[in-house]
Amino acid sequence: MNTIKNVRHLLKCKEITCRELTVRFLKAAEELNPELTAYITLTREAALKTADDVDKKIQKGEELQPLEGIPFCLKDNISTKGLRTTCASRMLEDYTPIYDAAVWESLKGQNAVIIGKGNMDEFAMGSTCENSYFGGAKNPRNLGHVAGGSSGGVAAAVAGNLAVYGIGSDTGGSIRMPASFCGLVGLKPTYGAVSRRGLIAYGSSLDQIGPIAACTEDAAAVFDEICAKDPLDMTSEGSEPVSDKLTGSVRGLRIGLAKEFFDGLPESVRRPLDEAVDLYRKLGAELVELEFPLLKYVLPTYYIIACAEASSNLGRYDGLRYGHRASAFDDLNDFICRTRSEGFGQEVRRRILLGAYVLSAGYYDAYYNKAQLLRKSIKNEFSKMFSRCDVLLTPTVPVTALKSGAGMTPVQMYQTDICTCSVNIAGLPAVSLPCGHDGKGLPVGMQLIGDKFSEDVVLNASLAFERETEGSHLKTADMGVLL
Amino acid sequence: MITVDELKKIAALAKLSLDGEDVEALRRDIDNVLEFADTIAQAAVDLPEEAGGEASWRFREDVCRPSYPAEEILKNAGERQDGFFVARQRGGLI
Repeated sequence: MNTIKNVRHLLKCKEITCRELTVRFLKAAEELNPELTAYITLTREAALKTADDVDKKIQKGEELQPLEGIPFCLKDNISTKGLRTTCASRMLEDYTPIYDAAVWESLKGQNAVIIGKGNMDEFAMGSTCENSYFGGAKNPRNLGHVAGGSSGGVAAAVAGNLAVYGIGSDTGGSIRMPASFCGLVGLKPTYGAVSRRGLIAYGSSLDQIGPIAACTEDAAAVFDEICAKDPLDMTSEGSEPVSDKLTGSVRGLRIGLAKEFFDGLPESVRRPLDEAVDLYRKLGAELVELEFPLLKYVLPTYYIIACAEASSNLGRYDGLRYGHRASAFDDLNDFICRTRSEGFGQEVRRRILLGAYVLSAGYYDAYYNKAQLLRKSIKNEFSKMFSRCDVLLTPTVPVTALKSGAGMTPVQMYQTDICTCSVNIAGLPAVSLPCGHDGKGLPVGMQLIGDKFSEDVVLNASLAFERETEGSHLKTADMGVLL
Repeated sequence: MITVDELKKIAALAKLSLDGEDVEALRRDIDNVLEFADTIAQAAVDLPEEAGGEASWRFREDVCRPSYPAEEILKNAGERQDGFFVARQRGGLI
């Protein structure tokens, strides 16, 4: 398994040059992408230029920064100046940003090697990655199954060894679900911990950028490099780096178990989670039984707020300043309507319509306002739970990776987010890590939720599990670049 | 239950054309999601009086700063003329 630590060691010891390393990842991505669709765009030129800069530094004996020279995949809703950024939509098929997102600015500033822009559900709306205009990403652990959504391409790139780590975004589970489906570690940071400047907006009060990595230490190392406060994002708080705080000990840690998260779980998902709970008990953690009665209102609350914000955020796509434009129309209004209907895919159109509906006169109080009140109640309920525990342990997704083309209804699809989206509603940090496999060998993900700005606590609990199980659940597919 | 007429009204508000769309299938889809969303209408819980915002908004001082050059911004526009975006009132583009 490729980790940041291993690759960094190879570069520093001059066992491989950064150009050789980059060429191998680019070549593997070119060969495998027609099957995996992990990347929407490969950024060969930018990657090789950075690699040469890194090699010059190594030749001069200069110290490398933490992510310098490490090949990675960036989700395609994160703006990259001069590099096409599509949001997996026909609407932005030919869009090239004129500025960099804050996260890419930080990574570019330390010569992180961008292999390409990761596939995703269109405008980050989906749970399978199948809503991509460019075709869905496949799961490297089993090609007949989806990679998960919405950051599925990023997870497929890491699990398929076409990148060492990835950067995704998470509005209702979009980092954690693909991490769970592909057997990786995915961190959704606290709302405000990582700047959203340059992230193409879906639900602005829910969106957050974070890492998808092969192990906990890698996720922590990437978080440390992207958690700076940004004066140009008014919701940015920044956060302290966490890597130095990770001890791998959970002795005395209070782990909460709210039974509602486990109701109706299939045995194949329940068993590895029960084993994980036993292991934490053995390691000296204290288990606390909790209740989360509002869980049954979480999904409708989430979808009302997310769709309302999406209908507002996506109002900017009118075909005049950027993006797809209709070629035949009657007048300006017709031009805008046709442009939007042609440019957006079915799920995006559906969510815009739902958002417009819940915000419209006569329905605003019954839906949007009620959802906002429930949001506050849900946050209060989390606060109560965190007065009794340090970490909540839940499944990440109640199922393992779905079969490609499973043909679920929208409501069935939304229900796969049941364990993840409450975290976004409350703005909390959460990590998903692999804790076992189902009968078909597909990874099962465990979610650890913490109180605000306690990324160190959830990652530490994740690291403790990894160490105790000797990383036996961490496994990438037998493809791509195996160093 | 949302009607086809209501759906058309919402689509007009959302600036989406329903031409070529299976309107009845879309109506059914939206209706199913609204039925699911309706569970919160029956939520028998004590709700706070005010929702309160997710974030504490911090506004910057409103200071004029250099912005991006107009030609850079116009690069992504499908049609531009004399340093402006073009919005046509009539007819299709050739």
